[in-house]
Amino acid sequence: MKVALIGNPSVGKSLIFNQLTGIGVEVSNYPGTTVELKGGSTCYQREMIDIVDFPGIYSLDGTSEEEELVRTFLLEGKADAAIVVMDATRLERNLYLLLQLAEFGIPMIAVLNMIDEMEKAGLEIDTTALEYQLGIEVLQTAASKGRNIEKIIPLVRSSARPATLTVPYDRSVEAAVRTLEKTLGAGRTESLWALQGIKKDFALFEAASAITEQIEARHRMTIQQIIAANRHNYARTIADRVIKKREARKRFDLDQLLMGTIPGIPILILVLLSILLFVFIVGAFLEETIVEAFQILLIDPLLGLGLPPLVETIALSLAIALQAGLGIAFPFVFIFYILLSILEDTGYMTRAAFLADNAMHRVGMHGGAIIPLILGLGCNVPAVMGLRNLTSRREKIIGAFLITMVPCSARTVIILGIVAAFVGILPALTIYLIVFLLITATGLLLSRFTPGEQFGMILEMAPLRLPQAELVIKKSWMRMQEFLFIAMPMLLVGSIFLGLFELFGITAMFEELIAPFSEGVLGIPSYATTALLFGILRKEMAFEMLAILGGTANLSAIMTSLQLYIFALVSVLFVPCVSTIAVLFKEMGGRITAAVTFYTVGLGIIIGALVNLIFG
Amino acid sequence: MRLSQREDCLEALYTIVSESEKAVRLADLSRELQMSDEEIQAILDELEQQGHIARLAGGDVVLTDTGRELGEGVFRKHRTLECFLTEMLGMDADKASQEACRLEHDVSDETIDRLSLYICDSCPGAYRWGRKRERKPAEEGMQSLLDFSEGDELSVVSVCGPGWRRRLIDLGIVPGQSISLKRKLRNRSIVVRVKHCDVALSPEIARSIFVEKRT
Repeated sequence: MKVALIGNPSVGKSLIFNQLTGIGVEVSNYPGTTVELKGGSTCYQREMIDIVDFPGIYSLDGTSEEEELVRTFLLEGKADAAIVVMDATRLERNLYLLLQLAEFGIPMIAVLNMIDEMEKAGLEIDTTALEYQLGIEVLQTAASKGRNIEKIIPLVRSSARPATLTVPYDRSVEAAVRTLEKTLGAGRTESLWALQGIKKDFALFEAASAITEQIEARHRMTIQQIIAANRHNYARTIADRVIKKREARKRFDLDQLLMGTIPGIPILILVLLSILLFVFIVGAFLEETIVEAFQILLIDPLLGLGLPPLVETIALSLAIALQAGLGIAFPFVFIFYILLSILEDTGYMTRAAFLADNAMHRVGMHGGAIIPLILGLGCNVPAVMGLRNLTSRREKIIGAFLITMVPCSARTVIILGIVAAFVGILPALTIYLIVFLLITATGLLLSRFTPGEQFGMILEMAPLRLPQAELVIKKSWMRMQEFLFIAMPMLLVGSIFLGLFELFGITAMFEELIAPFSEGVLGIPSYATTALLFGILRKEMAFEMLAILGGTANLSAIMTSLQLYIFALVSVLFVPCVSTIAVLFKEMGGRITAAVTFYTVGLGIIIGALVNLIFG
Repeated sequence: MRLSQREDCLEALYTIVSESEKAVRLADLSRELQMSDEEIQAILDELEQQGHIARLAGGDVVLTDTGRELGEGVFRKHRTLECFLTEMLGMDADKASQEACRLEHDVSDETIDRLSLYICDSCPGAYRWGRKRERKPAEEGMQSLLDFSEGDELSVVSVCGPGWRRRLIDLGIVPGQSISLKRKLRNRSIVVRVKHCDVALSPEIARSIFVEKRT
């Protein structure tokens, strides 16, 4: 049996999916978290139940990628049943999607999620009345507390059935549906789609558009507006009948503060800055502790053993890689992910988008684009995937350039581990400032020259919530796994190879080759440039490899402050990492990817050379 | 030569051909169309030029493949509209047929023109940076969301701009819907409350939503 989880964005589908299947899916409190189908399965009474988690959608009639995806899936009859997840505090708006889904005639149940929040808001929904109105079973749940989640599958199994409701449409729409039924034998649902201009069957589409013109002339509205208004009205009728009380409890509205120019924008800047500072301070403390521990417990004893050179090189390479990976990257990356997860779960991201809308227009995008940009602070890869939520190609191109310039957590590792640790916190912050200025300049430039249209922002504000520690940790850990299981092995292997190259003198040859450029242009030793190249694989590897190639984690012993600063600046700016390049290629195609890559390489080298020229 | 006449002619040819599967005589055609032979000849000349028909020796007419296709299309549209009018108005079939016959050609021109007045499809689809221009409301006296201030209780009158109309509709911003203007920044980004949800809008989108004060 295959069951589809369908609902508006941010209603808790992914959280329910996680609890039903035990598979990790990222959950966030802003629209557009799930961009692809996620499948999982669970066993119930010895039967395998496949569950599909769809991206959150507002409508089944739209033409956006997600809407198309869900519609096609349902049309092809791939789902045996549907679970419609609704936010109980936003019942009326959520019912709109359910009314559309009802027309597909697939068996379903409705899940009223977030009843804990509904109760807090002083609302009560009469489930029995709602069941009567819809003709399907309704279950009240609170996914964040795990309440009633275990009842979902048994209920789908036993009593999912097609909804019995029919939306009463405008007289002319009903007449049109009857006409298409009579002349072409089309069903009600297909007729409604054809009337709204969704092309499936050509003859039906043609006939429908002739009628549509008639109806629109009469109503002075587009047919989409007529049909949608009918559904919205019916949703309101149902909501009015089942919502028992709406106590207008006067609560302090935090949005009054968060969404005004003052103090909203200072708060936004403060939030972003304090994230960076927190990572700086706590990360640095953890880093020192762990690096120290590795040195005393692993590396020093190893050197004391007196092993044969080949074995010692390999063992030492492994130990240093472990020290660099776990000791340096881990604390920073993990703390960053935790902070970003907290930020996401509070629903603050959508406020940031609103506040930034005007500024983002100046760099050729709208406020919604600030979300991938902030996410880019964690990792560029999901941020680039988030570009899909932008409407036009122009916005996507600009977004692709800007996101890949955002210093991700791996680059933060470099800034912190090198500049903050050995040069100072203030110089570290200047790197952020330089990058920020470069991003702004790039945006201003691109918005002038990128062809295409620009669309404005239409963004639902996610409800403000107190993030739950357990969920935050879980999500951060999930993102962390990528680092532990993909980056760490790469680092270990790379480190061993480097150790062997060093032993056989290959490194020296390469360094000799690159020395004129490295020392002449950037003013850094040639082994540092070698380390820079490793940054292409994973950004933080540049730093780790520098430690390995330099033979010590105490970098101030081998390079001057300026050299360290330039090294960090160049590696932060130049070339997105391999994973980012790959996902860019997938989302944007080869030309844009190449352009972004060349642009960032050039920028990194030019800025590095400039700093060297001025201060060197 | 009017498009509608050519379409009429094609439809007539199509109906006659589909009944008899033979070449069509001019006399049959003039009876069906109730037009003079000269008029019909003129239309046929044009259709022949466009490659929709071919003339046989003796003046009989056959439809080419494209002609047949076009004729069928007109025929189908005609039947659909006829049925729709019957359904809609309870008109008797004959009257509906006449009406439909007139409508089938005119829908694409007149009606659309009238239509676009209301739904302002003529509004530029997007906002371009660098060329800021003040857009006038589609009709005199209409006020957009930007003309109101924080806390106003409003009702949507119309929404224009094809690019983003769909999402607005799905969020419930449709004509007749009550909304309240929850926040308006000095840079004119706004938040409206609709169906108990807050929706943030860019100024250029707010400008395309026409509203009136709720009483």
